[in-house]
Amino acid sequence: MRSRPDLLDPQTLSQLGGVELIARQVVEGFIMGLHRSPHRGFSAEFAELRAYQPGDDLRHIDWRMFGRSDRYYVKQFEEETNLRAYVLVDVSTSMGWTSNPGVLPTKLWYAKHLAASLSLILLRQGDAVGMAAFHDQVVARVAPKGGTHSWHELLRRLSPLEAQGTTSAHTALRDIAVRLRRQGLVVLLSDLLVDPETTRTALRFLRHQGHEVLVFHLIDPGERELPAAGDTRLFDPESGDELNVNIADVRSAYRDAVKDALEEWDRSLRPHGIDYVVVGTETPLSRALRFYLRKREHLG
Amino acid sequence: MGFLSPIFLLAGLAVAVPLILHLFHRHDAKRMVFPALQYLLRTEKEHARTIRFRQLLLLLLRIAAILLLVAAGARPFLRGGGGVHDPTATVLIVDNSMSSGLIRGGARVLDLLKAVAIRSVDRASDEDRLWLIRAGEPWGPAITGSRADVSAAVSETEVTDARGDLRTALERAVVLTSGSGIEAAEIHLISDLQASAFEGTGSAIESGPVPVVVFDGGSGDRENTYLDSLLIGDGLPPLVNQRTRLSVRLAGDADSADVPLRLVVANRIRGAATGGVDDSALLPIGPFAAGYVDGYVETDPDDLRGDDRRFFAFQVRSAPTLATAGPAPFFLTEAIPVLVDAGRVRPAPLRDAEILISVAGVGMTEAGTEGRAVVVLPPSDPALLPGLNRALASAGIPWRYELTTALGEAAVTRWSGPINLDVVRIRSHYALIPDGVGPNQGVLASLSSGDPWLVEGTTPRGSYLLFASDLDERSTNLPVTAALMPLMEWMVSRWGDTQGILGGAVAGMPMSPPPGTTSIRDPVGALHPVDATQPFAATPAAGVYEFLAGDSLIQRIALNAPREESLLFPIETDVLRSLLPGPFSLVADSAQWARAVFAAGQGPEIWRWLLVAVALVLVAESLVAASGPSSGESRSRAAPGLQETVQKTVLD
Repeated sequence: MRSRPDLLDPQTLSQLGGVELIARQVVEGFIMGLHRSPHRGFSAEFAELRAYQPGDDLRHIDWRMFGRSDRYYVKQFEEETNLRAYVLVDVSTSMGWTSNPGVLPTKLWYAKHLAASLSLILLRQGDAVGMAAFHDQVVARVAPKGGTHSWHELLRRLSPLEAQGTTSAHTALRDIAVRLRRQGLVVLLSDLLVDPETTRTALRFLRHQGHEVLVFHLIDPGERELPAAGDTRLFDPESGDELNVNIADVRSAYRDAVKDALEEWDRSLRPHGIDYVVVGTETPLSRALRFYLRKREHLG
Repeated sequence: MGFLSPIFLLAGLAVAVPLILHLFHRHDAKRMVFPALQYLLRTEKEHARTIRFRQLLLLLLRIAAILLLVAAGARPFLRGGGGVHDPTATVLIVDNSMSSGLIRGGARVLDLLKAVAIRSVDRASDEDRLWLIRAGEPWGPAITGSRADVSAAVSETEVTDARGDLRTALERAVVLTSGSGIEAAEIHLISDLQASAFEGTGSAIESGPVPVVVFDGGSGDRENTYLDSLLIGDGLPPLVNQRTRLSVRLAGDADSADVPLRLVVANRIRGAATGGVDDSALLPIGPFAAGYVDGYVETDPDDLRGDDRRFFAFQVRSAPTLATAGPAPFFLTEAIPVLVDAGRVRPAPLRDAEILISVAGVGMTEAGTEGRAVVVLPPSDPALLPGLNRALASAGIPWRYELTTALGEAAVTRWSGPINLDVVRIRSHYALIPDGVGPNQGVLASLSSGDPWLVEGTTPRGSYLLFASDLDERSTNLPVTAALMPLMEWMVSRWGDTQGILGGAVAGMPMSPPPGTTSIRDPVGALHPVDATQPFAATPAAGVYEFLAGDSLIQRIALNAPREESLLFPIETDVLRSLLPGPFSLVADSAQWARAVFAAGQGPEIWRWLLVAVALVLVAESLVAASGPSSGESRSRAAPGLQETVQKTVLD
């Protein structure tokens, strides 16, 4: 079980290779896990047969082939292409931060790999996947396309992205809203260190246009709990703000403020049908993928 | 409070450490990139006030801990409060004057003062030197001895009828302490602080560096009604078988006009009357046979008993014999028969007369008897002055007559006798020049020019009374005024042992025994052997004193409580403070007395308590510091909570 890449923690996973390799292994592992899980497969059309393996669903055994060959074959299904998905990746400066360099990956690393994994799953389901990377403006865009070949294009644009600039999520979201003519799925990967009000408004706007919206709030463990330090001058690389604090003095209040902020995001988005999930960068990618899977099931 | 190791207080400069850390430490803070600063900004804004308050509280607690620790290291001790003190020369002044007999709250003020004095003795150590001065017994020496001796003396102290002279007592105390040879000194003034007890010169009492601890035992109700004065026969004693009257004046705070008065003579009530405050009541008295008469007038007792009774004593005798010599003026020759007819004098030959009225010195040297009183009138003819002066010198009278250049009428001033001389004018007079005595010694009355007009004195040969002017109508208008006869009567009667009648003698005053006195019997009957050449000072009680020569009575004198003691209003604190410019403390609560005295002494050390306080402050500091969680335990508690939140969101 522990050998499945989708269940590896990001620290271990990052040592496996590049985005493509990691994402592929994660997705493979994830899908294999799904076969053993109570979750059902996707809506798909029959494509081919393969030899039965222990654990396959008996309902998928092709009894006609069993009659002809006296062997068990399982039906393989053709994936449908009925969903246009757009993955939005925040590449602002704050995404390039990690509280424990060399041990924990940055939020951007996590976002890239989650985006690649999600895209691969979507493409394998036959959906069309597009991508946009943004900070205060959109810096990379891949139009939604189906087929696995478009995944490589997506990875080619995604891999070289560096954290830079300030975050202006609502600008990117409005840009996407203009370009997405068909209703689809919008997945936002961001640390949400943004102006909350304008970002919420933009997300609600997308939802208002009929899109399904899924927000992955990426958060570093060091952002939940302040480090063990005394008097510190904290510096925000995006805004340039500095603050002298005694960590001990503000630790408890900061913890409450983070909790309040997360709850505020959840409270303000969920009533509008926007799914919101907090993902720590220390957690395996499968958690986020599982959350996506549930969402995808609802979409049929 | 003092310190045994005051040098350790320098360590108090360490309070600068938390101050500096508090004010400047943030400038040395390390810089750290932190993108989630917006959460912190929100936190900082919401909790800035709490954080600032907490930091300030921490700062104060840390400073308090340092200061308490430094103070404990300096080994502080409390002064007074039962601690030991350096050997101290201590003078207790207990005010046992008449006013200390005031009953207040069912107890005498003196009993309270004695209790306070006993506390002083209890607080003293065996190394101290103690004196007790009884302010109501100014003739008595300061009592010294062991603590037990002084304590016993305090216990034996009783109220006197004398006046308390606290100024003199304080000056005596200063002398005692300065001569003790002990470096530390303290004066405990334990009194009802009656303002009149400080009368005298208004200058401050130089107590130097000696601390004066004052106990005010006189607070509270101070109303008092008292017999202010008593006068018999308008100042003239009654003669044998004569009736006279006794005038009593009431004073004080009673608002009734019917204050009862009783006259007691020889222990029997002889009369009664009522009177009001600031009014005089008249009581008839007499007739009496020859001899001494004594008694008292009293009113109903109030809270201060000592002044509710006034004593008197006088000698009743036959009318004195009188002779005149020389060219007596007309009005004098006419007045003497009137006195004779009234029984006030008896005419007698020059040789046998007890009183001689000598005009121009005639008769003074021709027939003198020991003890005779001489009234000298100058001649109207200045040419007779040399003869008069020779007669005066021969009689041993230290005065002589001379012509004066003063012109015009002059009024009589500085006259304190019982006769009203306001309308009397002197048109011509001689100058009375002292010859061997002080210029004002024995002067009973002066003229408005300042020259003596009436002089009295005593020589070994008898008493004398000198007039500066003749009594004829050319020299004065006295003969044609109503004052002539009373003045004549006073003139011939004033040698009749009238002491006590005028009420001038007060308890506590030293008395000069008459020649031949061997003992004095005081009012309580105690007999005191005396040397007649020395004043007798031990007169603590009001009443009648008898001067005895063996078993024979020579004289009786009545002493009364001084009226100043009846004025109970207290001295104002500011005035008292100005009188005592040195170290001074005033205590009104007897319970606080033990703490107030020997204040320079070392009390118990309190460094242990300070260490306890340090521990408590540090505990408080820890609690306050922990309220902003910085420990690993706090983190480990908090992190799962957030993780649970995240996981819950993920799984939903």
